[in-house]
Amino acid sequence: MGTVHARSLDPLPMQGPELGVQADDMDLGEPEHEPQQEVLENKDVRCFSLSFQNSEDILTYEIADVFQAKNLIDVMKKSHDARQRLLRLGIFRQVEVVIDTSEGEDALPNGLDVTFEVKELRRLTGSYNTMVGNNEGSMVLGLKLPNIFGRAEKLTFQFSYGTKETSYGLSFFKPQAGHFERNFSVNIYKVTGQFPWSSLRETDRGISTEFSFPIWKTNHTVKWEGVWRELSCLARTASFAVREESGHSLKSSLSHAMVIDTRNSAILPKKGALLKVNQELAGYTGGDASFLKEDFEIQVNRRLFWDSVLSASLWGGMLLPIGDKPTSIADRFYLGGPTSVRGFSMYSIGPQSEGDYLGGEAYWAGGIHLYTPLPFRPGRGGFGDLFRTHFFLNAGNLCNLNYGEGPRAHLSRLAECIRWSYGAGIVLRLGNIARLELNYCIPMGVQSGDRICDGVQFGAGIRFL
Amino acid sequence: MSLAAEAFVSQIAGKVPFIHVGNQVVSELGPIVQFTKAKGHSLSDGLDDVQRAEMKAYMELVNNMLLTAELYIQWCDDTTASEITRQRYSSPYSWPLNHILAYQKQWEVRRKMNAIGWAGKGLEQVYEDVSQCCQALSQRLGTQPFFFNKQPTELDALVFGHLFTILTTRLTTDELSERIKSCSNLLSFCRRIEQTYFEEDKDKGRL
Repeated sequence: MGTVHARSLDPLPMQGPELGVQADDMDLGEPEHEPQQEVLENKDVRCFSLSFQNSEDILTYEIADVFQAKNLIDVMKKSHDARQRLLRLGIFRQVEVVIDTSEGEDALPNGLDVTFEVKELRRLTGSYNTMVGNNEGSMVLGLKLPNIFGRAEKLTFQFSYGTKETSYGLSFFKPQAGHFERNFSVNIYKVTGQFPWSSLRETDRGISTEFSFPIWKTNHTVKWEGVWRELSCLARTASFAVREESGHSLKSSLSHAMVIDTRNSAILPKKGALLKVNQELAGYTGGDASFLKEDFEIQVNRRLFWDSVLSASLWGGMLLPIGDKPTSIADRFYLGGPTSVRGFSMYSIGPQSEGDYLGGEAYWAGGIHLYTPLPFRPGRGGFGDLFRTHFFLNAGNLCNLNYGEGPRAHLSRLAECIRWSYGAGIVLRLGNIARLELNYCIPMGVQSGDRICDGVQFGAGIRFL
Repeated sequence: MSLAAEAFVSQIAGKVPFIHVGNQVVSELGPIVQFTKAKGHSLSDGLDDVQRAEMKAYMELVNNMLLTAELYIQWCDDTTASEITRQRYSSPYSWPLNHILAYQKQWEVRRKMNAIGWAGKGLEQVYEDVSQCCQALSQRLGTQPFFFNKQPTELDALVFGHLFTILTTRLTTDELSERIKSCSNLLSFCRRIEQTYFEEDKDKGRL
C-alpha cells in the first residue's frame, strides 16, 4: 500500500507485487550453463510436495509446466516462470526455487528435484497510512485477507477517514484455478470526491462486479456497475448550471474494456504499445442515467539513440445520450491539467459557466514526448535512473457535439479551437505505479474561459497523456 | 409546482422557496425577506415596532404549528405516508433509489418529531392543534382584508402559502382542509389573495 491514492479499488495488479527487478533486465546467464547441457538430455523431473494451508490443486496448475521441461535450461526457465506465477497469486510473501540432482531411494537416474520453498502471507494483514492532498488530510486503514477460501481469493477492505470526506470499500477477488488471468471481482464502495474546478461534490455509493478474461493477446473486462450518485455544490458561489445538476441519480451500466499492452512497463516504458478501448452503456439495466460512452487510449513507445525514448499517445472519447434526458456532469469528459494537456489548470478546458467547468461530451487529446536520461547522468545505476528529463508537445480539444449533424460536422467542431502546449521538465518514477512530474509549460491556443497554468507545473498521478 | 420540479429545486437550494438573482441563490423565507430588504423593498415598512413584534410572533406560531403539523400528517401518519407521501416523494427517481430516499426522508422527519416531542401526539391531537392555530389566526384577521392595516405583509404571504397548500393537497381524508374551511374568513382570505396575485395560474388546484 503506497501513498498514491487511486479513486477505484482494484485488486492487486495482474503482474503480482513488484519484485524490484525488471523482467527484461533479468539475465538467465545461458552461456555459463552451456557445458552442462550435454550431460542432462533426457531426464525426469519430480516435484516435492509442499506444506501450506490451501488447496494444492491451484498450485499444481501454476507449476505444472515444470514437468514438461526437457533439459536443465528448460527446467531453470520453467521454474523461474512458475515462481513468477506463484507470486502472482498474491498468497506468498516469498518463493524460492532450489534445483538439485535427485537423491534418495526413489531417485531416478538423470532426475532433478525441484523444490519450491514458500513463505505464505499472513491470514490477515493490515495497513495504516496517512495521506495529505488537496487541502485535506486523511487516515487510510486497509485490511486484507489474501487467501480466504484456500484458492487465492482475496478480500480487501479499505477505509479512509479524512478531514472533509469519508470513503470505504470492500472488494472480493477470485481467480480461476489454473488460469489466473480469468478472474472476477465484486466491489462495494462509498467514495466521496470534491471537484473544485466545477464547484461540485460527488458521493458515489455503488456495487460492481467484473469479469476479466484474456482472448488471444488481448485482455477483456466486462463489468456491471450500479451507483447511487449524489451531487451537491461545494460553494455558495456555484453557478446555476452546476446547481441544476445537483441531486440524486442512479446509474446502472454495463461496460466492456479491451486492453492490449505490449509495453515493458506501465510507467516510463521503453518499448511497446498500449491500446485500450472502453465502452459503457447505461440505462438498459435500470437507473436514471441513459447513455453510451466510448473512449480509447493509444500509446506507442520507441527507443531512440542514446537511451532516449520517443513516446506518442492519443486519447479520445464520446458520450452519446440516449433518450431525451441531457447528460449528467458526472458522466462527461474533462480535459486539462498536469496529467492531460499540460499548461492548463486541472480539468479547466472546455465549456464552463461562471468559472465552473461543466465537462464536454466529446474530446480528443494527443501528446508527443521525448524522454532522455538526466543530463550528465548523475547517480547512474542507482537513484539517478528513476529520473528522466522530458520534452513534450500536448494538444487537445473538448466540446459538446450537436448530434443532429453528421460526422463531418463533428470532426470540424473537434478540430476548431485546439488547445496545445509545449515544454520540458523532469519526471520521477515511483515504483511501478505512479510518477511525479515537474514541468515548465507554455500553453497556446487558449480559448476564453480556459484557465491556464503557464510556467512551472507539478503533477502526480498514475495515468498521464 | 410539479413533483419532479419540487424534488429538483429542493436539491438545488436546500429548501423551497428560493429565488435566483444573478449568481446568487437565496432559499427559505427568512433569508429571502432579508435579501429583499437589503435591496430596499420591504413589505413591513408601514408597521410600527409593536406590530412588527406581533407579526413575528404570529409567523413563529405558523412555523411551529402549521408547518410541523403538515410534516407530521404527511410522514408520521402511516396511511398517509404509505399511500400518498412516499409515492410523491419518490416519483422522480428510479428503483431502488426511490425507496431508499423516501424511507430516508421519513426516518429524518420522524426523528425530528421525536426531538420536538410531537412523536407521542396522535392524529386527533394534531388536528386539534391545527384548529387552535386557525382560530388564533382567524381572530387576528377578523374582517380585515389583511392581517395588518390594509397592506399585505410577510405574515400574509406565509399564511397564504401554508393554507393554500393544505387546501389543495390531496390527503387520505379531508379532515385537515375541513378544519381550515370552518374558519370562513381564512378561506375568503386565501381566495382573495389567489385571485389578486395569482390570476394566471389557471391550472393549479383551485380552492
